[in-house]
Amino acid sequence: MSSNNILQVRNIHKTYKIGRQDQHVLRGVDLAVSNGEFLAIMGSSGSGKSTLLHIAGLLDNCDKGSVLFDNKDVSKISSAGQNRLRNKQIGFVFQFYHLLPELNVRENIMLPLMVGSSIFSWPGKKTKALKLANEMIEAVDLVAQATQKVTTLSGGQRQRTALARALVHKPRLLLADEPTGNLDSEAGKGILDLLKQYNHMGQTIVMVTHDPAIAAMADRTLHLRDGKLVK
Amino acid sequence: MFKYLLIWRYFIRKKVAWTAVGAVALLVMLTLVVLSVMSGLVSETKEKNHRWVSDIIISRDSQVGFPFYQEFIDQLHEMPEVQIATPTIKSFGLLESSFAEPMPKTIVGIKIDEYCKATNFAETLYYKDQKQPNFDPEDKQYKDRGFIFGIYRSYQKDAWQYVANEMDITVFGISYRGVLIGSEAGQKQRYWYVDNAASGLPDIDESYVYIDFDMLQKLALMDGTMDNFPARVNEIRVKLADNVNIVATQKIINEKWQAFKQNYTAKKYALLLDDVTVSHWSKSRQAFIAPLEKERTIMVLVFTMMAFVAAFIIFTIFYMIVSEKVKDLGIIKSSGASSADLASVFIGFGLLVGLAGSVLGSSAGYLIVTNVNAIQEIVKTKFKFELWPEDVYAISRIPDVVDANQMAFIVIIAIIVSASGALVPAIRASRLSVVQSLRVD
Ligand SMILES: Nc1ncnc2c1ncn2[C@@H]1O[C@H](COP(=O)(O)OP(=O)(O)O)[C@@H](O)[C@H]1O
Ligand SMILES: [Mg+2]
Repeated sequence: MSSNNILQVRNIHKTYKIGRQDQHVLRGVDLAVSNGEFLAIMGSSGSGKSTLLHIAGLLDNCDKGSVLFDNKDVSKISSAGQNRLRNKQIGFVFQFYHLLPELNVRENIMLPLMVGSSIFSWPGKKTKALKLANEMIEAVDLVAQATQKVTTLSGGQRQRTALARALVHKPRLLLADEPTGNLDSEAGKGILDLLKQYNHMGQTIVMVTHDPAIAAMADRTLHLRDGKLVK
Repeated sequence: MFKYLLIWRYFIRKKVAWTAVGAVALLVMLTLVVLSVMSGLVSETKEKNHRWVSDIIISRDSQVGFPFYQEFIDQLHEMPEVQIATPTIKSFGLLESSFAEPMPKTIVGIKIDEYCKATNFAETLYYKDQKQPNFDPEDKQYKDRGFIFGIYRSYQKDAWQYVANEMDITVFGISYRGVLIGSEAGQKQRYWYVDNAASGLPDIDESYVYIDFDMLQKLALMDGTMDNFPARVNEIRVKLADNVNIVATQKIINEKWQAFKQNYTAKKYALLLDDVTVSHWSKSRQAFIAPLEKERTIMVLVFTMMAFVAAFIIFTIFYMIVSEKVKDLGIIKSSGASSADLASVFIGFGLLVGLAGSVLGSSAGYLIVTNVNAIQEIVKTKFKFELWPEDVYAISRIPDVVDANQMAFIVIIAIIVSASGALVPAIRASRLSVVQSLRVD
């Protein structure tokens, strides 16, 4: 494989135990994502798409296999190293937005920047963090809502906040798990347009969806079937 | 840095956290009030007893008393540790006047000049306010024939009304063998009312009437003329020099006494000398100090248990909050926070709750303690209820001083308790599988 791959997933296996029964969800998944690519992963509900994305994003462990980031195996490195990777290189967008209700829009967007900074280094970083956050707020068109509680936002606005949070630290890889799954078609289109726009600017994106029309926007589509990825 | 923002926001937004703050505040307040007042009472009572007794007391638990006291006092005065030693006589007696029934009293004979140096007696006199206390009535022909009447001021303020200007004191003579001598009706002598004494110790003030040492020794037939025996006394009070260790000196004096009594081995002397005890002041007044100390210990125990209850409340509240916030933890973790970060959010939250509760509670407690007398007065008049009754605690004022060390101690304990209440939920939070929480909405 070429060294241009930002992410590689090799022979991933994952089994869930439900009661006494084993559910073998991922049965040897291989995947390579090259820099700047917009990849869509399709699959029916329950096929293991989210599981795969969580493993690729180091949020979950696999039973077997490895995850390579920049050709380096990161599935076995220390949790501090994994945390740093998530904090600097990866952005997540989830189907259900997952915003912190105690924080306003701008604070939610700044979360990765705040997590990556200690209380002592924060004063030095704050100006830059605010600048980055405000840029994102403008990009996702939430200037008027910047200081609102996130609970007062519409679904589309919430997901745009989540997208801004996922991109504010300029990660090299964006992982999106059915980002439009919970939105009406207009709001969904807004999110997809943003994804497309960022991809044009060079953002690598892996997006999970079960909607062929949405997958069609990507450069390439893979299907998760019977625990394996196929064309 | 997100931790501090999140701790603060949780603290502001989670109303249930305020319950925990309230629990901590209440606990801190109650502990501070009770501990301050109880400690104040204990130390005030000790102080009062100490000053009344002087440092060391050599006594025999019988009205017969013991002989050779002057010889031993002379030995004591040779010790550099001893400031002054003075004998006293304690005799059951009656005080009567033509217009009132006889009052049973403990008649105490003191060498008033020495006694005032050994004890705080002079300060307890409050009627005539004499600079140089003495037993001389205004009518100079009755020199040394005055009596000083003990009054427990808290509930006996008006007792002086029953005291006539001239009263008869009757005491009973007992020989060194312990049999009644002299008149069967006792020896009666007239005395003149010169002053009131109020030590603040109810058992003392209620029953003591003081007269001159020599007068009483003669009247009680303890001067030895009647039974042909050396003169006797009931107590020697010893005041030590400043900064002398009382307990250590008490041991030395006790050894001295044991050696001293070997000089008088004849049976009739030994009988009286054998059960003389040498105690330091707190030992001799133990019966009055120990119950208070026990009460304070029980209070501390009760509040320790309450601290456990508070810790449990905090634990429950934090458990609830953590359960409710699992999804937040998943989000934060997906942004790159470590498990330790997540745990520290909750521990920090616990610290903040503890700190807020302590500040509130200790301020409230401080206000209550410093105004406790005014509050007790209101409660007394409105509800007819006294939390710290004067006669039980031998006080006319409830101690109203907050000890800074004690306050700091309580605050630190409260903060530790709060933080540890958050500890288990925090550890649970850091161990949670966060993906799980991110799946569902
Ligand atoms: N923690 C879990 N325990 C048991 N089964 C799980 C767990 N998480 C997911 N599953 C099961 O694994 C399968 C794949 O889930 P998921 O990755 O969420 O699928 P998708 O995202 O494609 O809908 C589903 O059948 C789901 O029920
Ligand atoms: Mg899914």
